[in-house]
Amino acid sequence: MLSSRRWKPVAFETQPGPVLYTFLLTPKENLGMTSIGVSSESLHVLPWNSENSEWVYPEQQVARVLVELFKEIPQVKSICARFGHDEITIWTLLASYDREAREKVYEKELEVCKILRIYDFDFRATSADLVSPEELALSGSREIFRRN
Amino acid sequence: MDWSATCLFYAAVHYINAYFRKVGIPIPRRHRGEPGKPGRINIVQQDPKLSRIYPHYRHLDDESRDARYELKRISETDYDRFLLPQLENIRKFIIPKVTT
Repeated sequence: MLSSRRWKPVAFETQPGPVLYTFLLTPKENLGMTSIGVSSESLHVLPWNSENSEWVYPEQQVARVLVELFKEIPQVKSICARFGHDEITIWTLLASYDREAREKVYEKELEVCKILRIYDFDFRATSADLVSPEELALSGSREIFRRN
Repeated sequence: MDWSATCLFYAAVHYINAYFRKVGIPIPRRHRGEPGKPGRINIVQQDPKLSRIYPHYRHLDDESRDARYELKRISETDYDRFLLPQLENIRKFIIPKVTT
């Protein structure tokens, strides 16, 4: 179960703010995480190899669960997230306007809800041709996964 | 055809609200949740029975938002062969549960 997995900090690097976590999953998949929604008090990040660094931000944990599940669908080109005060907006962008692939995304959304049990997800699934990650960035979303 | 997906989506909302009324779930005021209060979509996600129609509901949700906000054109073929059947699936699921 993803929810019971103990995430290890060795998978990402932390730097003084603005914080950007980036690591390669495979040569073709690039996962980037940011400290969206974290207050300035929280920006003091311990080195990953510190004895006290066995934790991740809640946003990171959510992002990891989302990416792990959605990237299993080959047609998923990009995942963008916006962590607001009372809701989390998730955009799953497909390589084309593919309704069959979108149905697979919906199955994953139900899995996400079972794992995380958070009420305030706002899921959107559409085509990257219709909505681009760059456009979403203008409204405060961050791309947390891109398949190259 | 521009508003057809939106009309179908809101028809689906009314079917789902009818189910809520029948089983005694207070009808949410919002599609999404707010702190401490699940929205309509959240109840559909979490309810073991309603989650069966989640994909149909989400198709209408996404297609209606694509049409409204991203100016996605909807063809008659889209409507007849894909969108209307999504509502039909929701209707067939809900009606027997609210009329008995």
